[in-house]
Amino acid sequence: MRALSYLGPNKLKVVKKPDPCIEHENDAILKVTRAAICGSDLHLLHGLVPDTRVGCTFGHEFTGTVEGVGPSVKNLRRGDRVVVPFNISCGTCFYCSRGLSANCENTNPNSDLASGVYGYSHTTGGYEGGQAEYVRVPFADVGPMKIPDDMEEEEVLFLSDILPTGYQGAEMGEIKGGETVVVFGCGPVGLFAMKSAWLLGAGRVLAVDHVDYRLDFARRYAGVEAVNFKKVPDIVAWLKDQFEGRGPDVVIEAVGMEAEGSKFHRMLGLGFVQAGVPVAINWAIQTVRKGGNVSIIGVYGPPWNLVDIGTAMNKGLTLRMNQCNVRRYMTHLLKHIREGRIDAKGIITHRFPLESAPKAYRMFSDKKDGCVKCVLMPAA
Amino acid sequence: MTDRQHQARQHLDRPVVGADLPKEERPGVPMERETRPLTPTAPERFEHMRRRHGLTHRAELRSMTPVFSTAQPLHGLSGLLRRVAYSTRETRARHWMLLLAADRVDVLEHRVGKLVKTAALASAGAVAVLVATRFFRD
Repeated sequence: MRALSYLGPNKLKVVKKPDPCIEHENDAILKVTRAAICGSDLHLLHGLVPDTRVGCTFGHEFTGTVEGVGPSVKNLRRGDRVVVPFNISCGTCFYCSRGLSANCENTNPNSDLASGVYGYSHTTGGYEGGQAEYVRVPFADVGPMKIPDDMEEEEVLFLSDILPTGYQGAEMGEIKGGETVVVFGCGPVGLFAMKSAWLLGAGRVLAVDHVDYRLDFARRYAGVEAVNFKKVPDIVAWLKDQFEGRGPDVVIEAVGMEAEGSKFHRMLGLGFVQAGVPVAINWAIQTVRKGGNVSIIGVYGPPWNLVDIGTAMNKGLTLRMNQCNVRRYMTHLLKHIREGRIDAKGIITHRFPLESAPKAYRMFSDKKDGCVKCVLMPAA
Repeated sequence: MTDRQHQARQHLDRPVVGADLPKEERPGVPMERETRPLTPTAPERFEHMRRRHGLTHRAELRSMTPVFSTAQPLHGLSGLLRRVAYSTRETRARHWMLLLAADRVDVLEHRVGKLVKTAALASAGAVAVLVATRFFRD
């Protein structure tokens, strides 16, 4: 099969690889129909995630058609169209049975940080990703959700990660109705966090980024106010002023480990003195009102970061965070898509055949050509 | 609500704002729910995959998890570094630093391997040309 292959920081190539096979009784093999490039794939591309091995295939947001199933699979048949959560979860362990599928303890032998994840380094199990013609899906009776016959792949593709992640981000903000919400980051996850904040009853939503076209997109797509932090002298002070000098009730951090905004933190973060750049977390802590909620859905690596925890403690903040427990949100968010409340497909700005994946990564990483979300079409 | 806020919310359909305001509409509340299988079809019991050569697991685990990947087994110097890293608990910085170092060594190994392969092919080509030239001259 053809598959994207990582050759080192900023080096990708589409190569021929052996087809995946059924290695466990509950595996399925999918022919990939759509595979999206996620913002967190860029951390892999830039060599920031430990144990990213040469030859691995990225891709944890994909849909596909079932080509084969293991002997114990009951839920799927050859020919079924499915969307697959990025977490690989057994469905019955201590964590899965409590709904925390992102923390499954049966699928990642390499780290206690998270469950197995498709195409996201050996730190999350070393599973091959979906930016390929075929992919192996472990625990096929647990993760994949069948795509309704009347829906297209692209309408539901983002149920695999970014839509539930944005929703969980807003949900962890504990919006009860009428709250003021600031979202750091106007990437795809940030956009869905903004949409979700409205769904949960936010009174006002304000987005922060430094890329003008993305701010414009957020205004149009999510109906939010938006500010470029590079165009105000002090973003924390500016935001506090917007909310009666106190700051917003809820801040959602949807940026992650490659944040702009502090040369000092970038130098330490990208030089591996700390695991990524925690600027957006610190701004979130400093901006939110006392007693407010900070929800962190940006990706950071281990082992440490210079996070302003003293301010968080003294302000009495609630900090909530996790990888998204995708499976428990899929049915609910599918309903929102079907009923027209969320146009998930509407954030796709670029489509590429699999052969052009390296070009797609460059465009997405450099934020060129108004790129918000790239989707690969391996069958094209 | 200011005019600006009002304008910002205008394009959204009425049913959108606050559609999930009731807590029972929120799939992740409470975050940790009463215990039950994640999906009705989740297997109650499952077999463990057979161990293979060149795999890694964290120091706290006695063996592999029931399901794992076999995509890129350990090899070479990077594999040695990774093996040392996985023998150290992940709460130690050494674990992560060794993994990051192994990633760079892995890239270097790959490039050197490619260079050797290209050089070998070029040498073989040169030898073939030399032999052919001599053969036709005779």
